[in-house]
Amino acid sequence: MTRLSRWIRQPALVAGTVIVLGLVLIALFPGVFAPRDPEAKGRFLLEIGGQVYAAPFPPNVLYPLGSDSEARDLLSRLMYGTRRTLGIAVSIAVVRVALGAGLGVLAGWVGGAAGGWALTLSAVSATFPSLLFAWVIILAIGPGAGFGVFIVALGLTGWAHWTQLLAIAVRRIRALPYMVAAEAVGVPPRTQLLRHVLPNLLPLIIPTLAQEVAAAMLILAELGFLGVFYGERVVINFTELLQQRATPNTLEWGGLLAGTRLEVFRWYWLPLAPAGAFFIAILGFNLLATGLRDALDPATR
Amino acid sequence: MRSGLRFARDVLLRLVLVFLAVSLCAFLTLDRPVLRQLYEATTHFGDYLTHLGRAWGMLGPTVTAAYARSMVLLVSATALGLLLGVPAGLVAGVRSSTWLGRLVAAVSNLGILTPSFLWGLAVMVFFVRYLNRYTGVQWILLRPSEELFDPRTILAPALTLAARPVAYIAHTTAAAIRDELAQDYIRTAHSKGLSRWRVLRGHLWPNAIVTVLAAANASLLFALSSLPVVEFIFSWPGVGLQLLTAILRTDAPLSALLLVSIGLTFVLTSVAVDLLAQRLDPRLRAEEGMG
Repeated sequence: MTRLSRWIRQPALVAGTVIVLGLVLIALFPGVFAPRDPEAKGRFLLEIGGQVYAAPFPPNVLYPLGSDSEARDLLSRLMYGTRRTLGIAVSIAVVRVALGAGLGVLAGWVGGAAGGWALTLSAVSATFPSLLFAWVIILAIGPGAGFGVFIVALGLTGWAHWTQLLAIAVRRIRALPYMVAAEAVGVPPRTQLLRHVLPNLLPLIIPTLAQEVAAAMLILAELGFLGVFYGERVVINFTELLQQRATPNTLEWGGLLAGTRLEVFRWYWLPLAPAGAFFIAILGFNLLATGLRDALDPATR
Repeated sequence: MRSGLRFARDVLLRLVLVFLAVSLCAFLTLDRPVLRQLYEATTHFGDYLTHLGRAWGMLGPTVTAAYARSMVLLVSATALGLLLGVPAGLVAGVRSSTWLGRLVAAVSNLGILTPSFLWGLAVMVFFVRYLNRYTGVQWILLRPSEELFDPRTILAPALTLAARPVAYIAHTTAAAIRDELAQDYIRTAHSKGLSRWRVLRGHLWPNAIVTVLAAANASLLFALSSLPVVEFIFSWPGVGLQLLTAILRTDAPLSALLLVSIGLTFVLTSVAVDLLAQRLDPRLRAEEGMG
């Protein structure tokens, strides 16, 4: 059985790949898939099923996921916002995995005091809920911070468990017979790390990256719901949030969620459409991570 | 004795590090020149540490009241997580090849993936649209109220906060049960003629319980992560909501104390779970003794 035919038989991998590929295509070519221009405002009044509605319109033939309060198509806005949201999530995941994997390899390979402190740092970081830490960092950075700073700030959360996981994996690989043999014949430590250890960590790191994109999407959704998102720095007044107000003028999925807490009663599509988009993306990346983990695990070959 | 002292030293080190790290985060202001940031962060943080008693005197009642309200939610959510998650996990683990087992596994996986605010919105709509209307009881506060503490208002936020713990505990329990079912001693127990219930109670459960405890600890972290969002949705005046508003107001001492309360809670819970796990599993006690 070839590797490809084996992989096709894994439903999680197939489903995850289809969803993620779909999102990537939409992100790269939103104009091909979106039914309308995301900023195009339609008529303020619309007849749906014999009744006349004012914007925001409920889902109908013209607006499949409904519209916002300025009669802009939500589906088109979500599709055009895929690129920014996906880009932010992937960047955050790369920072997290790089940080976690880097410290994990340090702890597992170097060991000693440096490794001990790496693990202590990860244990302290793991104590802190990601959302709160991200909230503190983002607001400490303040308005007007650049894309890079935003990504690094969110990337500083949620990396701790990968440190511990990779430290264990590196120690396990070091104890394998071929590593002992490599050391015995005098292979330099740096060559051992680059040629033998790191390639064997790839089956662990690649699914981890997919899973971290899903985790980053989750935190972007929760921060967006609380009113913090990249693209438009909105100063949130909680008294204002408790009342109804129009959603901010942004194409990022988290921004589309901001301020929709009480709008779920009258205009349920306003929070549900971006929440649904986040859910599909999180599901897709998690399925991809599960499928990749099973496909790349040597024990299943 | 030596391992006990080392354990105590490790716990104390974690508590001190968590206290310093989370407090320092509250004094971060990264939108200014670096040297100015360092100077201000150092002076404000030093001032906070040296006058901790006075800060606690002024802010203690606020922090304590918010902490108590959040603990009520967290304990309710974790208890619900165990009450619903463990039986669901047992069903999914023992009957993994049946439609019921697969359904429970699929629902628990979906539960882990679903954002908390989505659960919160669904629960809020259900309670406001249906339960409020048919029972005539006000189950949800749409405006924050610190004076009123009506136990009926705990149900909706506790259910929302419990969603991911239930899913995670069910998922982990099912995995632990499936691993144990594959072991030789279970085959031996069945071949001796023991009933399924006796195998579950006498063999499977004692070996899976440590994993379940670890899952409960991890689900507490999920719940802590979701706490600000859930408290925001239901206007529950706990640590999460107070922290969001304190950070927005740049009230650094209050933010620091609230953050420390969360961090220390998690460290102490982790330590308690580790000690309980050692009590329940003699193999962990033996490993600790040798280490």
